[in-house]
Amino acid sequence: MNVFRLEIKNTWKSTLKWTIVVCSITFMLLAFFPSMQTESMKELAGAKMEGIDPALLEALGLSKLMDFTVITNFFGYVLQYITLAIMMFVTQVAVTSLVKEETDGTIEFLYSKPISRNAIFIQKVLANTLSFLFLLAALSIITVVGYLSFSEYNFTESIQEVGILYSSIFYVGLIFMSLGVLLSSLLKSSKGSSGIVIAIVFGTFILGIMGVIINELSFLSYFSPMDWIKTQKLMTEGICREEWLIGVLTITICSFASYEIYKKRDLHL
Amino acid sequence: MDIIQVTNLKKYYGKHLGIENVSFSVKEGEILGFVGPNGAGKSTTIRILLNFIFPNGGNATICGQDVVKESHEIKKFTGYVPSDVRFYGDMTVKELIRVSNEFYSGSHDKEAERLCNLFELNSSKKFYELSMGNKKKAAIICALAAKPRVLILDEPTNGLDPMMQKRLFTELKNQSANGVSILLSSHNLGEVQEYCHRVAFIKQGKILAITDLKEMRHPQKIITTIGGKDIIHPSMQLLEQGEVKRTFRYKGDSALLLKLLQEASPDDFTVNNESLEERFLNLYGMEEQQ
Repeated sequence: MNVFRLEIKNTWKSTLKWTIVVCSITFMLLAFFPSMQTESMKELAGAKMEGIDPALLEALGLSKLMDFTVITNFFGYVLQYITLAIMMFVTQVAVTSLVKEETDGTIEFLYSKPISRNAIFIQKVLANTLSFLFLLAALSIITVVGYLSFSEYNFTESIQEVGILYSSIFYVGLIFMSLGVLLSSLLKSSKGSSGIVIAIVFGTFILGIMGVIINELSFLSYFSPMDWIKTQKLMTEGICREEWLIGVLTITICSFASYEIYKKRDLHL
Repeated sequence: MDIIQVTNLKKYYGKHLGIENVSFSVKEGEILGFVGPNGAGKSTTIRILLNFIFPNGGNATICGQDVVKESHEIKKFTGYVPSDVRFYGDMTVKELIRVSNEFYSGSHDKEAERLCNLFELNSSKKFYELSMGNKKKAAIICALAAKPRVLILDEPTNGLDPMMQKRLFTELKNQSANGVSILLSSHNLGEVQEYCHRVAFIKQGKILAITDLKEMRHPQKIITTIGGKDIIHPSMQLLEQGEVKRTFRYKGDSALLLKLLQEASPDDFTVNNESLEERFLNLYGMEEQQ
């Protein structure tokens, strides 16, 4: 597991920075929750939202007038933006995982050692998955602490809700990760990868919004995994069968394709 | 016994030719110099041998194992020094050597320590802090520490000072005497002539010649004459014809040479042993004329 350790060593600083930033933002947003429970805030929020065009509300993920005095609604709303950040992190890590070492030239060190490309691929993907799990674990702890501190949820209720929310984010994260790894196996250089990451994450997010706003384009929601796990939907309907199917197929096809491409590709040094 | 065997290797980058029909071999305990101008195909050949890239034709084996199918096995006994050393900058040299050694079975700490002392490398420094020469030393130590049977060195003396170059070649000579086979790509013809057993010349992706450097110990002579008659003899090859100055390559004994010079009775003449550099320039010059 040399490559696994090497990959963790090379990426842990970036993972730690993302974890600290995302956890801090999450905790600060949760800290707003008690102020949302006051009557005046409730009236203010209600009045403001009633004046907003329903289509815009849909686009903002406020399909129904939500009661922000309930922690699930409040956190579910802010979580969609936290999810965006998490997906940016996951996709960035995945897109750079294979190709960055070629751009930096460090791959010559690795490839001259007795280790197969298969092992390099698998260990790198495992390391990326561990970084992702680390971020989610830290976020889960922070969210549970936030729930316990700022809501009336007890420990068991908090754990249950946080478990559902973050396990669904893990599932969607795996989809973005597999897309990122596929791109990494196809790219010749990691330069400009940030643009690709933004295009993938925001692109699918915007597809989801279009699918919600325009009835004729509702099928676009299937191409927006972040839409599948919007809290209101997740808590009521869960992830539907088609969404499972599309997700699992995407993960399987992308992983298999990138594995095969990586095994047969020429290094670009 | 051929340890590295390259047969009709081909590589195209799209439509652009990388190498074509490259064939050579490296015997057990032999140092083969691999010489050619920039872009000649040296690095392409080396990258195929290490399975960094895939060939479009031909095949290559190291210790009888296919470089494409059994690359993983080959690397268990093959050390490699890249021409441009770009390792993990945040690691210290010590960490790099440790990580490198972990890929091989057995403990190689003592050998790594011996090599660090030999090349006077401070292993506590981070890799990005090192000079070009010290980066090269780190790569050499990583390649040699696991005591490989085969060494593939891509311009290993680039950036090394003359004293370290000398130490490296003394080390390589010892390794070769112990049966290690070495493929040495280099621009420095002096070091190739001094330390290699044979040399393969490559240009525009094709092998021009493979020369046994033992022949160079009994070198051909380069004769320059000013004035006098033409020298026409099978052992005299005219290389350059000026108005009065003529340059020949001569292969034969001294008595015949003296006789030929006497017959031509030039106004002046010089006789020099042909160096590898002259062989290289002649070879590449001839190729260009063609």
